[in-house]
Amino acid sequence: MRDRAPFWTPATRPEDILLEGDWITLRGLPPLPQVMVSGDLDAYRAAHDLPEAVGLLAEAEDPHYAVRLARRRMLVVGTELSPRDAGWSAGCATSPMTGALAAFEITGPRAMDLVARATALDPYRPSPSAALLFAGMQGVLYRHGEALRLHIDRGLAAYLANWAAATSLFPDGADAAAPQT
Amino acid sequence: MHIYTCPFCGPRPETEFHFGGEAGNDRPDGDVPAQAWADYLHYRQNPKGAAREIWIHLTCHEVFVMTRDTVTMAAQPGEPIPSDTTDRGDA
Repeated sequence: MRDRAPFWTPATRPEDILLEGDWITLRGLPPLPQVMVSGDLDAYRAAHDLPEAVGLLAEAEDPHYAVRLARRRMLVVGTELSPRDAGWSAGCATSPMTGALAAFEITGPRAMDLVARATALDPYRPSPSAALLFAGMQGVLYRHGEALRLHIDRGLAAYLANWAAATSLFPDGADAAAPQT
Repeated sequence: MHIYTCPFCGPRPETEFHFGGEAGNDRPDGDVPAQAWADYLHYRQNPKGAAREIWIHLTCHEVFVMTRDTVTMAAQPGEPIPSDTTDRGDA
């Protein structure tokens, strides 16, 4: 059979993405352990000793934390879940998301300028849900230390890099956003 | 850019929402005349002024009722749909 692999553009690894601009950096992180939890969130937090789930642009702290996505759904970061253990138990449905969502950190004094380009939401108004449309993508946005953390579908990492590189915040971004060969 | 208010998330840009149809247009139940089906499937109230509509917040999947003025486009904060209308208890 003919090898068609060279026909396709090599996939961009999120952790290889690094865009640096004036007073802003966008950096892909190595895969973070993540679990999606749906159902009785309070019971799950109590059973796993998790703090209150943070909302939009709220501060999350290591080693493991929860980010609220919906009334009955949250994303737990820092906890690994084997696919064998996934499913419905004790009022909650759990799904491993480590390979599904790529995480990025946006740092620097102009980090919020990138957010302003990506969405029209009010950054000074708290929201219980950290889920948003970021540059047209479903994403999760919160603060982690000095950085903003953004989780998006792993398959959209290259799009995020290309979109960010096209903004005026990253004058030299086009090269960095190119796929790795 | 319009700002709509999700009952759970609060004010968000309109691009995060999807229109779900006219509120109160319930599916006819049981043996009903053809006109009732026609009303359900094809005819809308299209009021000039306040209109009650179903909207969906795409990021948190909240389904809610929003009153929107079709003349001024002013939107009231979304109202949660009472659970007894979504849970018919016939599972």
